[in-house]
Amino acid sequence: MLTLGLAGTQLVVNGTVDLRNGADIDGRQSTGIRVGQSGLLRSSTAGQNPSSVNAPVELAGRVDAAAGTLQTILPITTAPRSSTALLSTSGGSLEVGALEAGIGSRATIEGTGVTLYSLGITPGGGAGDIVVGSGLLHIITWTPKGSGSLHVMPGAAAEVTTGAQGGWRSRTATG
Amino acid sequence: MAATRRHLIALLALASSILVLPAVPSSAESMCTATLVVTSGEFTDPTAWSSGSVPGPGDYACVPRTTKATLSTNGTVDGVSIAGTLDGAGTLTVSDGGTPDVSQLTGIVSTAGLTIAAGSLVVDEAWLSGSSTLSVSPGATARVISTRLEHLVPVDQGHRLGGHRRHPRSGGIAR
Repeated sequence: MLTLGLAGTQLVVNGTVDLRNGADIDGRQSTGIRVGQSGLLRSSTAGQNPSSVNAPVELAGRVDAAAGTLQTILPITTAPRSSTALLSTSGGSLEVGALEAGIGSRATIEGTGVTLYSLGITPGGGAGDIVVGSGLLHIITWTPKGSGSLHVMPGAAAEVTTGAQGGWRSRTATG
Repeated sequence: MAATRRHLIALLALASSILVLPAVPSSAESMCTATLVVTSGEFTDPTAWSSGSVPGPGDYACVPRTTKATLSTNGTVDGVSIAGTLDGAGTLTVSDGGTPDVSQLTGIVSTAGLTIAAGSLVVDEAWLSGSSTLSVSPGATARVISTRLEHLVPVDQGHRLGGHRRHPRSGGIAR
């Protein structure tokens, strides 16, 4: 368990941070976790409980569920103008509380077992895109805004359970 | 009979969890080449350390529980074990320059920075406070564990007893 305190405290990940056996990171009031382009934040071994990340995440690198369930509670926001943010599963399940692709940025989702509880695109010109590169993406609440797009690549699929609204170029698709 | 079997299984699970979870070496003291020997002292004060000198790139520095090292300027060590508190305005860089020791953070980093430039850091029940930053450099790894959780989870005939966590977004059981 790693606890990040109030605003100003942060975890900067340019290497690898492994969450093992259900270990958590808690920092809801902190500056949060910054995962750089070479950074990897993952659940590496399964525990009795899911591993929970309860801190804001700015992502230019990768969040991966390699084993067990990895939950991110607060929003994952793509780093400004980054096109390298990657959410993936490689053996586990990934439950993302919210994902926001900012202006000029892109987030890619790969693998099966990824669930987004809230999906948004930051308003404004040139808002970012979200790409489903492979696997099946489950979206629980779809609250689109802004001008970005959800792209579903060939062989991939996105499934919306509830909350579909207008504003996206496509709502549900199989690539 | 059934109760005895349950107890046996729980005991075996506890024993196996202890056996497979040596992520925090039990004898960090044996790795220490410099141990803080005052309740509260400057990191750069040679008299505050058991070695009689300021820990440097060749040292594995240990800050025991209930002690506090104040780092006013930047420093570099080979490895570190922080069970007490590291504070101050400086940043401590762990270079892991050859000794295959795993650094440990089980205490508090307050205001100061801690950079894992190489090697591994095991984090368990640790706090970052003030405006502190824990930074994991490319090629380095931080393993966040929770021995408390792991040792408290009982197993009853293969069924989970407390492995569910409520996802705040969905309001339902996430897993």
